[in-house]
Amino acid sequence: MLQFSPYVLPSIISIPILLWLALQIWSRRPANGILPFVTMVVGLLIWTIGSTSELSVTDPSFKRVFIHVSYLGISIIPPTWLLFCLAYTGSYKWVTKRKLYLFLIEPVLLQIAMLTNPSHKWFWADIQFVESYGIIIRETVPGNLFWLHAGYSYLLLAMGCVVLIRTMFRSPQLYRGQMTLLLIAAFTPWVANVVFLLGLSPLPDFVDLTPLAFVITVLALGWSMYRFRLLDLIPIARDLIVENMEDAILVLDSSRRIVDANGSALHILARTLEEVMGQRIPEVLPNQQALVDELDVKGQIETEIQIPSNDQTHYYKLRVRTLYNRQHEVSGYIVSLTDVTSLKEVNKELEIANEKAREATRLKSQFLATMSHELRTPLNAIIGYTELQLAGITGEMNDMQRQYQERVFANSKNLLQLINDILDLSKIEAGRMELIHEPFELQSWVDEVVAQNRVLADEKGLAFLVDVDVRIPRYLIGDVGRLRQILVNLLSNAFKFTNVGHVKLSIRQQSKNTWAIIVEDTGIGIPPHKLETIFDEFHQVDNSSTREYGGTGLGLAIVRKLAMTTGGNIRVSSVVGEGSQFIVTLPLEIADIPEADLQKI
Amino acid sequence: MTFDNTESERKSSKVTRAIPTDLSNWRILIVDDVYDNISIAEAILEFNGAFVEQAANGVEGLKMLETQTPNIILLDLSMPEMNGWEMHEELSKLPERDCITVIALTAHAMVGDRERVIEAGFDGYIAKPFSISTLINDIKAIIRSTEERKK
Repeated sequence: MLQFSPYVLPSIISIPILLWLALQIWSRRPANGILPFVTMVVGLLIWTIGSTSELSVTDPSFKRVFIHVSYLGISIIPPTWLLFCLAYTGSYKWVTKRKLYLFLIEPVLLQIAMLTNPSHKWFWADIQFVESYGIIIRETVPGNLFWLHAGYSYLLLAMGCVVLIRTMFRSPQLYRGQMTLLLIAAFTPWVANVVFLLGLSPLPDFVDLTPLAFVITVLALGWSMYRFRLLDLIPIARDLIVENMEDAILVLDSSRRIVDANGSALHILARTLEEVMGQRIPEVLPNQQALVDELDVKGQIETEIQIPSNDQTHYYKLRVRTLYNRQHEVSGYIVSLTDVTSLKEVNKELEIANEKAREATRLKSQFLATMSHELRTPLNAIIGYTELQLAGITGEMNDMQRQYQERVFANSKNLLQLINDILDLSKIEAGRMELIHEPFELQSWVDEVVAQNRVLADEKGLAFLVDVDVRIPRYLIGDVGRLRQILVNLLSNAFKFTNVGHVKLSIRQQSKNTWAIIVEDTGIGIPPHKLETIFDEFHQVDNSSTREYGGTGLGLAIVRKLAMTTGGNIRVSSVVGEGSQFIVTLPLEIADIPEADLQKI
Repeated sequence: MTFDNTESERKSSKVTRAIPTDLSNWRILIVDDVYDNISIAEAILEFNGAFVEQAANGVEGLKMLETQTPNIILLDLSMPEMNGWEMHEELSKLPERDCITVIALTAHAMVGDRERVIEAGFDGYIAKPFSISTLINDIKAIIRSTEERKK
């Protein structure tokens, strides 16, 4: 016979929910505490099904069967709750297989006690089935074993709650939210049970609110899985990170005694946790008294220390942070040690490599300087003696002698120029060309260069126009020698390749601290396909122009290298037969010179 | 291209017949270990009437200064026994230093060499190969600027 009462409705609704929840959680494994949690949900399911069924049948023998089923579920919940709490807070290692078997004893004994109850009446002193509220219900008088069972269950449940609460207070803020939710979940059944036992329930006294409360519990847990990704992100994660990180961490209390140390720290100190506990820093790290003194002054430290180990000395970056409580009193210190030994070794190797490179550059520069000197010395003799003869100091020569001597003179001049250019280019390419940064007066610098080159204009009857933007500051900072080299090269090119018209030098401000030197001419121009290669070494427009115009073809390569060395660049535009325009842009700081110091420059 | 000598090199691409100028009041000491260098400078300077003495290194140069005081010294830098830098340093301790225009005449003509020479206290710098057509004018220019500086 079946009977129906509205009191089973909540349970009937909760059954599919629990089923769904069990499946949901099961699909999320693996995670800490998933197995106990699912078992707990299953126990709850059994309890709910059992109690609902018991309430829905009229036959006492059926009722008895379902009571057994209910208690099977009931006896599963407390141990699984405790196991879940332990696993969730990272204390799972306390649970050995043997201890797990211990948890099985109570449910088995419970079933035996219930089965044998008619003979001893220790579990239920009395159990009757009566009609009440229009349905047949069970009326029981609990016996001693019942209370023993209840006490045992409460104990396990309470232990779980204690584990949770303890962890909650130790946890960082991040986990407090989900912990709170867990505790609400944990306490709901307690409240329901107390209400039920004290007879405060608004419902008839045969309706136990506890399973319903447990449904709320598991739903709260289920929801928190979505909300907080409970079971995915567990509070012990932080502990694990600290324990397993490569950096050594020491925690000191306010009196600077070690209260905690992670694995790396213990490895470095070559001691066990028990050995370092309560020790002070100078006791575990010899020769670091200076550190302690520094800490007294500064409150935090970042330094490098050496710790000798059996095979080699290790270098560590040591940081000490002082921790303060809400009253801004020192509550402790965090000491961290990062092993920088390999970094130091790499740095040392880099330093050696750098030193070698510097030495190589120095040797190259030295070699170039020697080459320059040694090549110039014989050339001095060749050019000098030739010039002496051409000057007529040695007496008259016939026309052919004079012509030949002039060829010797011209060729040795070309050779000298070539040597100069090659050596100069090599010096720039040797890198680390030292740039001098000194203030100079732009206008007088321009005047000087113009005066030097005026003779070239006069020789060919060309106009030499100069246009310096008056808004440019009087004093700039740069390597005057290198700047002059750039400009002289550009001007000599312009004069070389211009036969009619003018050469114009302009200086403009291009942007803040960037200046453009523009040299334009009305010369022969450069064909478009040659514009790209004109800055390469030994590229004149064509080889025949070297014959016709002289020069080494290195001038523009040098100009570009110089411009780039000083952080600038060069570009060219040209029309064959009309002329060329070279624009060099250079970054030069404005010199901030007080008037009083101007005299000295 | 090194501009310390470009100008003179370019200008002298056509050599014109030297017109003697009167340098009879010039007493010049040339200190150089390379015979050709002395020979060339001596030729053009004596041609113009200057009185030229020579020394092959710094030690010899200093010894010459014990018996005579030139008003111009053309001093090579790289020499055996005692180089030009060292000789200049010794020379600077002598009381007659102020009456002498000391000019480095050197084949060290990379960028920066001129600055080093002037920094060391030389009165002037002429790079080798020097041009005989401008040598005298270059020396005159250095004497002028030295006198101006002394004022």
